[in-house]
Amino acid sequence: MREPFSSSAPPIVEIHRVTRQFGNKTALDDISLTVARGGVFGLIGGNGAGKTTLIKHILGLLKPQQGTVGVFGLDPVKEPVGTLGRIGYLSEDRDLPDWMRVGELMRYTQAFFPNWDEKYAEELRAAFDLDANARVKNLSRGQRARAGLLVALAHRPELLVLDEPSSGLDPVVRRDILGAIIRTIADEGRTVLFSSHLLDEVERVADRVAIIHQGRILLTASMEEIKVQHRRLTLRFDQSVEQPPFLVGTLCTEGKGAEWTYFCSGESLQLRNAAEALGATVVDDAGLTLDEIFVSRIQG
Amino acid sequence: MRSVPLAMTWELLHHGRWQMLLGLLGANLFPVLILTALRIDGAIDPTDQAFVTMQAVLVQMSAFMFGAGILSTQSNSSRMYTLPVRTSTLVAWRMFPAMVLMALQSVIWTSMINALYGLDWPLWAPALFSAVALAAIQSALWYSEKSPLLPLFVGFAGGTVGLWYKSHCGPIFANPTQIWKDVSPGDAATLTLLVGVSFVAASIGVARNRCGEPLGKQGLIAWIESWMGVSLEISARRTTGFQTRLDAQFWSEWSKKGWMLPVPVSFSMVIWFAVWVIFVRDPKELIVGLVAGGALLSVMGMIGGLIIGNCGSTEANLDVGQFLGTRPISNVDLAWTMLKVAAQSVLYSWLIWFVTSSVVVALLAVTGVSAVALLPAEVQWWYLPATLLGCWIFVGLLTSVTLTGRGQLLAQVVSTVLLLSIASMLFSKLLTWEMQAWLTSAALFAAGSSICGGVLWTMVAAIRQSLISSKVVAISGCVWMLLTIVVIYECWRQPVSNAINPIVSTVAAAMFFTGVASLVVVPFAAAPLAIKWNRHR
Repeated sequence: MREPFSSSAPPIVEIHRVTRQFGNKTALDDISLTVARGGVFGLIGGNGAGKTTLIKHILGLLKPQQGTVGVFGLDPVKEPVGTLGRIGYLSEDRDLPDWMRVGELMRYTQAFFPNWDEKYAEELRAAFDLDANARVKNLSRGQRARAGLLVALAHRPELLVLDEPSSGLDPVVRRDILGAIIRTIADEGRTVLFSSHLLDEVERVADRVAIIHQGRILLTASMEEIKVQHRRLTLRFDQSVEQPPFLVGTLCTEGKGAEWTYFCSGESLQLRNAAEALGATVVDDAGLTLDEIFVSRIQG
Repeated sequence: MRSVPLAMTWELLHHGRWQMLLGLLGANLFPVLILTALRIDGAIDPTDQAFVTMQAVLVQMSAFMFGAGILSTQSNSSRMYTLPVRTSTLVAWRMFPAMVLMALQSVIWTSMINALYGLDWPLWAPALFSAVALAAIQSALWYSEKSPLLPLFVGFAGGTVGLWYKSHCGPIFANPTQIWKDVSPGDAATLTLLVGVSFVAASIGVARNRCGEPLGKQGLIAWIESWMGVSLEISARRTTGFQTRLDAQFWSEWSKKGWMLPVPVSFSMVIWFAVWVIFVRDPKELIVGLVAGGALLSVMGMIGGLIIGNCGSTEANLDVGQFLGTRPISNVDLAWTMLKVAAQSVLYSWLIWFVTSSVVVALLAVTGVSAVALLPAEVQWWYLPATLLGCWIFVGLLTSVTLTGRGQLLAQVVSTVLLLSIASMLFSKLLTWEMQAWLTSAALFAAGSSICGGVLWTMVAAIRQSLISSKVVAISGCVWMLLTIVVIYECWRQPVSNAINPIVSTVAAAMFFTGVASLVVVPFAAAPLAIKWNRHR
């Protein structure tokens, strides 16, 4: 996994104890989050977890009912020009002006961003195979996502925010988009924040991850730390048990009879010692995929 | 549900229960209010020629209101294209239950009117006409779906059926002289034929749309469509960059919405002039029509404001879309861009009306007819600026309210104003003439001072949130003062006649018009506030 960029620079996003309710539903519950400058930050959660709501707070589209949000040290609600001028954003629903042609969309967007790189924009358009004369409404879903990504990337934003970038896309297009993300990372310490429920993709590209569930942050750590701190232990007991004995750090269990698998949070050595103290034999001790970590955290 | 007809009828009734209720209220409330007011005045006389005209108008208005309610319940047909249902079945069970409801509503409405007011209006002729008119318009909608020619097809269908109905009430382009009472065998055959043609046309349209084929482009249709497409493309197509973000945003907004007022104004003037040339040809009617057109600009401005103020990503969603909301442009700049689009739209529309009227006046002068002599007595020097300012007031106000992105608020504002007006009109009929005069003065004064207070509050709120500069506030204040001086001068020069207390009436009128004058400048503060409220929820 790539090393994240230096975190000595001030964080690019600071969210402090933000709460947001829609009627009786609490979408965000006392959330605090910091996104350091540089690297790829993955925000993962199930449907309705609060990912898009959190992203909208970062973009200033929602005002926090409690708490504060800072982007580049500014309040995105009070300073939309100062913050949004440095952000490239691809929305989950690919909201683009349907009536514009791709070329017009590029020229229109260029006017808003002083850093727009025309040459780079043309390279992206060619790479994404988009016809400048095609109307946005006539683009396929994948082409629409690419058009959205083009206008988000072409002004070389300091912060690229992608909300479910791979949603509804075929594997080839997904690879293109992820390739674009990696290229962005390679350019001078830019930051990418993307939300997804496709955990295999997050696992491949993210440097740091935050797991959000029912409006709360369950976990924030680097990908390496997460992998190191989550293990799957399969234990065999001398006798069959109906319920597996408690093991410190267990998030969830599965199995039956005398053999049980524990999904744990903790270091391998400590967990093995704890397992042996229970009188069990460690049959298997393996790392977890991000998918398994996510599911066990939710169930735990 | 065990059958397709049952399922589709249930969907119409269940899904559309609120819209149809609203349509029912609209169809019935207005006639009831008018006839109640007439009864209180003791003016109900079935033999009066005016009642013949009223019957014709109310039948069509009732059909329009309830028909609009029904059409709004019928969601996009494309949703049903993947169901294992024949096209003819789809069309039949969308069309026929709606026709039955339409006819039933008409019968019930007419029976109620007859019972309440002692009239003898016919039941079946209007009912059958309403049902067939709905079928004709539905078929036009389905036949020309997704085509820019849709308004033409719907206008043709509605106009044809409307003229056929009118032909039963006397000369087509004159006031009605009789009520259509009896449905002759010929009428029944014509109505049946119209339904048959509507059904076939609708089925052809739906079958074509089901395969994703656009309306055939041949001959005249292709020419019209290409002309419309090229005209819009020429105005919208952009091949060069923009100097500033404001230029870019103005181009985007104008291309999408700016022409929505001038084009219908031009179209309406052309249609009206063509009708005058073919059927009327009376210079006085021409001048009166042009004068009325100036007032109608304000009415059209309401619709223009609703469209221009919609900054959502879809027509149905007024929330600032995520694309627009994440453009690095301040709320003030965004609001001013919208207002600039609105102002340009109003100016173009007014110029179209003004230039056309001037040309007509000049042509009449050449033929020796003095247009000034034909003007109604009420029209004076202030009419010309009032048409421009009136249109701007409606467009600016509706744009600002729509920019809030609160559809419910919009509906509440419009409904409240309508209900208050109707309620006060009805209530005043129960009072003596003196009390009516006092009530009118009080209402005008209250309305004017409320509007002024509201405008001041809006300005203060915008200043506090730094959404308006002191320069704009100063200019707005000067404009408001200037208009107020003009209003007060005119009210003093021409006090309210036949008033119980001329001073009170004049002061009330002056206060009211001062409030109206303040609406000219309120969008400068209201629009940025609305955008901010919409964009940052």
